[in-house]
Amino acid sequence: MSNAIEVRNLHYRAGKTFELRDLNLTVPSGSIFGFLGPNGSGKTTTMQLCLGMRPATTGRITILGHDVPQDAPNALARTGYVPERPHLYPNLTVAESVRFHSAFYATWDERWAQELLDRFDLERSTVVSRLSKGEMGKLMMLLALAQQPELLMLDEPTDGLDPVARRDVVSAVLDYVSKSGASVFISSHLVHELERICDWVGILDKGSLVAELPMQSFKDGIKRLRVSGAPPEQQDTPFTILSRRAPETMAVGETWIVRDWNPEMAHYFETIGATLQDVVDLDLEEGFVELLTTSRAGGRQPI
Amino acid sequence: MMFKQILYTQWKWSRAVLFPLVVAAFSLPLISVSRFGVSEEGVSSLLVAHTGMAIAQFWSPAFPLLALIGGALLAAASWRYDIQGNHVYSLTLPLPRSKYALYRMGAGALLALGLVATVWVGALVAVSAATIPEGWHTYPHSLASRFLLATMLAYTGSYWLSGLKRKTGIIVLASVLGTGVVLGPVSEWLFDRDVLSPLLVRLAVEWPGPLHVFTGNWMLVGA
Repeated sequence: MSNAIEVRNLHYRAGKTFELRDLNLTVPSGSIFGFLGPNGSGKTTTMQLCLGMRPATTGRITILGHDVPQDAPNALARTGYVPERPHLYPNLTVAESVRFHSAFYATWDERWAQELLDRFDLERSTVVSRLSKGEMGKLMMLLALAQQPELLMLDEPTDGLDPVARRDVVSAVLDYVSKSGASVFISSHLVHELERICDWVGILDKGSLVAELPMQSFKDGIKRLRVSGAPPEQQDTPFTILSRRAPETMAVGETWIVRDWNPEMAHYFETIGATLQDVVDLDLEEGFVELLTTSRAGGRQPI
Repeated sequence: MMFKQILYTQWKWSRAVLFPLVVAAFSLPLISVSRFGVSEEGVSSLLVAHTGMAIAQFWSPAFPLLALIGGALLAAASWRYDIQGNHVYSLTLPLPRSKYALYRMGAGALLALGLVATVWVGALVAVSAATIPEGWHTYPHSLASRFLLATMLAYTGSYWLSGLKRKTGIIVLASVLGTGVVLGPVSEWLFDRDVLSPLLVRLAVEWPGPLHVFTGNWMLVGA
């Protein structure tokens, strides 16, 4: 089996305004896949569909080789899930929550669960409803990790956590992944955090996948170019133009956002009588914003 | 293991309502026969027996009412926190939804059995403590059996209702209530008098109607 998650031609509609359209997504086994998108783009819905919590209208979802929702229990037995909002029973204590959760997983590692309780500094007798946001995030992560999953699905797991809690949670995930080789499907709008830990990235906007590619390709291949003297229309470029903007006031040259760039392509501009003035690397956040802007403006095909 | 943990959570969620119910379940049989054997000077034993009987009769509707309330409250407690969390937790646990629902139902039913057992013990204690007139009979076992059936019926119905989505539940309840409201006028329009409402009530509460167990004889003592 080569992929932890495979989503093919998924369609889902909720209400009159929101829908996921022909979503195709592949999370390779052993990868840390960052799922980016603005609020309301459908990240949580996609995760819930992958876990069998909602029925898709059409399409096929396979998690660790199990068809979902038909074989969801077997997929869930091998998947750790941390939802966006706290989902645990509020009147159980931390220790009771751990005991309750452990009863459902044959692979549960009690010793590690106890270690994580200490590492996360969680008081066993505290009632779940009295936990702080950071403690709640840690407890949910603990439950997902101690079941020793082959796939972790994390829906904005660090959202709203203070930097210390965020660091604890992320390092626990990375420790586990390096030890077990598990796959991770993590959604977030904290772009810099994903940039640091992910090796694949997918970008969702308004229910459609805008991009899905290795993080390195994303970082290396998307550039901002400053170009002057270029003709208005370009065809047969060796790279793909994502957007092209006229010079801002006082600025010289147009701004082009391109992908699949490499330095040898600079010669291309001589052939069209233009001058390449500058090449700027975009970080993930800038690339993310540019991709969304371009996608919304032009209805471009996914990359 | 799974069932044990589900039972434990259910116990935690239900114990606040279970405690007053258990107190009522134990006290009710004792109260209902409390006037038997209380002799007053100048009052014939026959009058005492009849007074005791009247008191027992007065309290007898409290048994099906307790079964109804107990069943409904325990059922509501079964789903309470799952509903509050939009079922997200239970839906991500690795077992089929039907199995989870059965476990939750079984756990609630087990707690309801505790209530039934309390009525039974209360009835046994009550009949052994009271001075029942000679020739009269006591029915602790049949009362407990009837209470068991009524509680389980109330529990099952309420469990099914509370497990429905909010919108579906409202539609079901509104349909039942709406039918009750419009049946009379429709019947009068069709037949010049209301024949449908009494018929429907009779079908529900008379044997073999589904609510028959709530009516009939709920007396712990009989002549």
